Amino acid sequence: MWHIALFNVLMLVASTYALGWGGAPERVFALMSIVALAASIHVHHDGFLKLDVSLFLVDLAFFCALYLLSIFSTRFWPIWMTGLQGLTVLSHAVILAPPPSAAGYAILEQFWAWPMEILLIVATVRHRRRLTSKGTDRPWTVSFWRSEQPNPR
Amino acid sequence: MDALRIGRLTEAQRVALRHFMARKTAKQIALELGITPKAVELRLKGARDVLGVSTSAEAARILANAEQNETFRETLGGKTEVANSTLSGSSSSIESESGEAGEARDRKVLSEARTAFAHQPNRWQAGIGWPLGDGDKRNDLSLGARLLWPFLAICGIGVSIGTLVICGSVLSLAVLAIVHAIR
Repeated sequence: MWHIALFNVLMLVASTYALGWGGAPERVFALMSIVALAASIHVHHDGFLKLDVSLFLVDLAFFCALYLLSIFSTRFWPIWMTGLQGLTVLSHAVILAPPPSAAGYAILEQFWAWPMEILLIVATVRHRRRLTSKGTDRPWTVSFWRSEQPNPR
Repeated sequence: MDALRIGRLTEAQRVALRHFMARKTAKQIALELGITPKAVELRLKGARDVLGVSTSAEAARILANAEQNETFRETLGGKTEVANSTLSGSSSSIESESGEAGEARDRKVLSEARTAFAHQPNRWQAGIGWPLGDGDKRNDLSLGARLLWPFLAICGIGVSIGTLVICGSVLSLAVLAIVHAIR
């Protein structure tokens, strides 16, 4: 189970970095991912031999939270995080497809969390760079008006 | 004004000029864009240099003229008369001219605007945008694009990784078959 230990270390590093040095979206994501991981561990008991509805609901809730984050954040990365989490949600369908594969289900269900944690580190690094170069980095979209106009004045 | 100069303005300079045209101060613009007032001043100065004018107001007016946008874009398809009438209206609000001189000026500005907009993306491209930044760019996608992009990302990433996995598997099988055949 070395990969679980490695992932936990990666998540610890990424979340600590984001919580300590990230902007508001990075911190919100770090908190959400910790809550989602804790909830996943709490509800998941049966291995990956059949569809885990509780785990599916946790993944779906995380996806919805990320979707909201991607709408209101001034960053691009939440869009990609939402995409990766969407694939985690879709991976639950693997166990329903014939022939059901417990190994495939387990791999796909957990695989997408790796790039998400790496992306979080990259996002925090970029946030720090913007802070250094501009002095500020607005976290949330105040209004969608400007972006909806082709050529606003 | 050389239309090529308008085309040389960066998007950051255009945004600063649009805000300036809306009678906002450098401090207000800075707050809205999440940058420092000094950076706003630099963008406005850069725009003035590119356009070869001495005041930001003049630079903003030039850009605003060029961005009498929707009608101008239609004129690219040949609806010249509509654009001309709109342009004449906007021109007269800036500087009252009449006769041949005024018409010549309108024709010139129309020609400049066509050139300036010829390289710009159409409404769909401008609306959907790409959710990619260089680290400096802020997410300025429209609400519709933000709602849509996560699902496009799911499809894109899923198809890409799926294709890689399938190609990898086929390649592995092919290598195994070749090795088996050689032995």
